[in-house]
Amino acid sequence: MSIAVGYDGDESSQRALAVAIELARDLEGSLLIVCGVAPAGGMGEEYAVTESAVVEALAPLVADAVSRSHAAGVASEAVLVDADPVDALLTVMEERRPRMLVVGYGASGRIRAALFGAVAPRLMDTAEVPVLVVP
Amino acid sequence: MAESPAPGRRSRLTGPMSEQGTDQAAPEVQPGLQANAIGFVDSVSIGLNSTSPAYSLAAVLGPIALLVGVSTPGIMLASFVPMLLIASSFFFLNRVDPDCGTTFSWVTKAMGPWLGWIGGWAIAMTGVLVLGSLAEVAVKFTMLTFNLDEAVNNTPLVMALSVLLILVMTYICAVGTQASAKVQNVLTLAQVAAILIFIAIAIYKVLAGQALPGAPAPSLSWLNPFSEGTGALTAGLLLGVFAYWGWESALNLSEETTDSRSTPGRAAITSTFVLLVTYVGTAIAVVMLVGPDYLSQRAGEEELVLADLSLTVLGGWKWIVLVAVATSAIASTQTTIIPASRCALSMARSGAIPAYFGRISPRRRTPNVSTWWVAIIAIAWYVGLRLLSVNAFSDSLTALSLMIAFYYCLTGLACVIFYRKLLLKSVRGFLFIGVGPFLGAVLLGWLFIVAIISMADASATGDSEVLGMSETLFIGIVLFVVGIIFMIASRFGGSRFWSIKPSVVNPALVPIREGGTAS
Repeated sequence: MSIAVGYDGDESSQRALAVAIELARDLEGSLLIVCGVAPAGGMGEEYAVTESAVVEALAPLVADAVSRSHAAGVASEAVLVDADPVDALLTVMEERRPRMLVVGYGASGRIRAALFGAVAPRLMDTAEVPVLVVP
Repeated sequence: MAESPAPGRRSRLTGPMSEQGTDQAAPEVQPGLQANAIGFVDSVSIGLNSTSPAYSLAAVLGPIALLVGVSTPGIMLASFVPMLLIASSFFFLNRVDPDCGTTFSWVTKAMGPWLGWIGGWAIAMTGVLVLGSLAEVAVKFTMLTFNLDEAVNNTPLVMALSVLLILVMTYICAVGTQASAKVQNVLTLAQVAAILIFIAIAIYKVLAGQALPGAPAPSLSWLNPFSEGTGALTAGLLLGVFAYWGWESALNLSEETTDSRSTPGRAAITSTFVLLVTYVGTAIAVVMLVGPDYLSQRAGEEELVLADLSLTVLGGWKWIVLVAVATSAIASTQTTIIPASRCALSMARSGAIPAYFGRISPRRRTPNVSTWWVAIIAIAWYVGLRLLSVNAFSDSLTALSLMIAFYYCLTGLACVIFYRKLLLKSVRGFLFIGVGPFLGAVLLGWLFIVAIISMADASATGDSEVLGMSETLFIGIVLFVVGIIFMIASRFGGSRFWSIKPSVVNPALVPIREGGTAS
C-alpha cells in the first residue's frame, strides 16, 4: 500500500512528513511525497518562467524529504504536480490510488485559514480516501 | 487592464524547465487535473475581465470627452482597431512561445536583448504605475457609494487610503490568495450588467425628453473620430487604447477551453461585442444625455465624471455603477500586480536584472520579492505624482497610455520579425501574422510619436509645464531614461542575457495553413 503526503517544506508539512514516514514504516508501505508547484495567482503572463522558479525553489526541499524517508527505511517517491497543493494531492489520489492522504493542518485560526486557503478542509470536501490531518 | 490570471488549471505537461533552466537534472512535473476546463460563460467573463470595463470607463470617459466632445463614441470605436491588430500579434507569438511569455521574452527572442529589455521595462512599469490610479479610483468610488462625498475632496485621506489599499492588495498577492474563479466571474458579469443598465436608463431618459439643456441631438457623425482635428484625435485614441488595454489576453485562452473548436471563437466574439457595446454605448448615452459642455465643466476631476453621471441617470440607484467601478478597480489591482511581478521575475531569471528580484517564496509559490518591489515603486510613484502634479490623474493616464502604445508597437514588430521567414508562404499567414500586426505597430507608433510631438509644446496642450514641455512628456522621458540607465548598468554587469542572439520562429510550431510545417 502507499500513502500520499502533502509537502512544501513548511513547518506543519514537516510534522505531516514525520508522521507519514512512521506510518509507512509500521505498515510496511511506501510514500508518495506530493508537492503542488503551480504559481499562486493562476495562469497569465510569464506563467512558465514563474513555475520554473517555484520548482527550483521547492525541488531541493522535496528531495530532502525523500532522503529523510529513505534514511528511515521507507521507499518513497517525489511527485511534483502543476497544480495548487490541494489539486496536486487530488491528482495523485486519482492517478496513483494511495490508501490515504496525510497533510499538516497548516495555517491555524480561521482568519489565516481563509487567507491562505486551508488545505485540510478543502481536502475533506473532495477526497475519496481517508485524510489524516496532523495538528 | 493588465492580463487577468485565468481560473482553471493547466493540463499540459510542463517539461523539465524552460530554457532559462539550470544544468542540474530538473525534476519532472506532472500535469494537474484535467477538470475545470473553461466553459463559455467563463471565457466570456475572462475576456471582459481582462480589460476591467467599469474602471476603464471611469478612467477614460471624462478625459476623452473633454478632448473630443461629441466624437467620444467614435474615438471609443476607432481605438479598438489598433488593439485588434496588436492582439493578433499576441495571439500568434503566444502560440509559438506558449508558456504565457509576454512582450519581454518575445521581443528579446525576435529583436535581441536591447529592445527586449526596454520592452520588459515598459510592461513592468505600466503595471506598476497604473496601481496608484486603480487604488485612488477604488477609494473614491467606495466613498461615493457610502455617500461620503466630502471625503472625496480630502486629498490626504484619499492618498492614505489608496496607499493602504495598494499595500493590502500586494500582501494578498504575495501570500498567493485570490478569489475563486466563480467569484471573479460573478463580479465581472455584475460590473458589465451595471454599465448596461446605466446605458439603457440614460437612453430611456433622453427618449422621454429628460436630456439636460444643451445636450445635442443624436447624430451619426458622433461615430466619426476624425471630426476634432489630429491633436485631439491622437490624444483621444491613446486614451482609448488604455481602455482596451489587456484585451489581448482574452484571445489566449483558446486551448484551455472545454470545446476548443467553437467555444473560444464564440466566447471571444461575444466578449468583444459586449465590450464594444459597453464602451461605445456609454459614450453615446452620456453625450446624448448631458452633452459635452457639461463634461468640460468637470475638467480637473475627470475621474469623477462617471460618478456624477450615475447620479443624474440612476438617482438613488447610483450605487449600482459606483460599486461596479470600485470592485472593478480593486480586482484590477490584483490582476495588475501579478503580471508585473512575474515580468520582473522573468527578467531576473534571464539575467536582465539582478537575481535578487527573482526570489520565490516556496511555500506561497509567489515571487514575493518582486511583488513587494512592485508595491514600493507604485507607492513612491503615486505619492510623488500626487504631491507634484496639478492634474495627477490625467497626467499619469497619458504617461501610461504612451508606454502601452510603445510596448504594443514593439510586440507588433516582434511578431512580424519573428515570423518573417514564413510570411510569404501562405495568404492567411501573410495577412494575420504579417500585415495585421505591422499595421497595428505602425498605428501605435504613429500615435506615440504624434503624442510626443504635441506634448513637446506645453502651451498647446494646456498641461502644466516642466522645462518647456508638458509635464506628462517629462514624466515619460524620465521613466525611459531611468530604464535606459538601468539597462546600461545591467549590460556592464555582463550577464548571459546580453549574449542572446535574435532568432526566428520554429516552423514546426506553426500550422501549414499559416506557412509552417506542423500538421
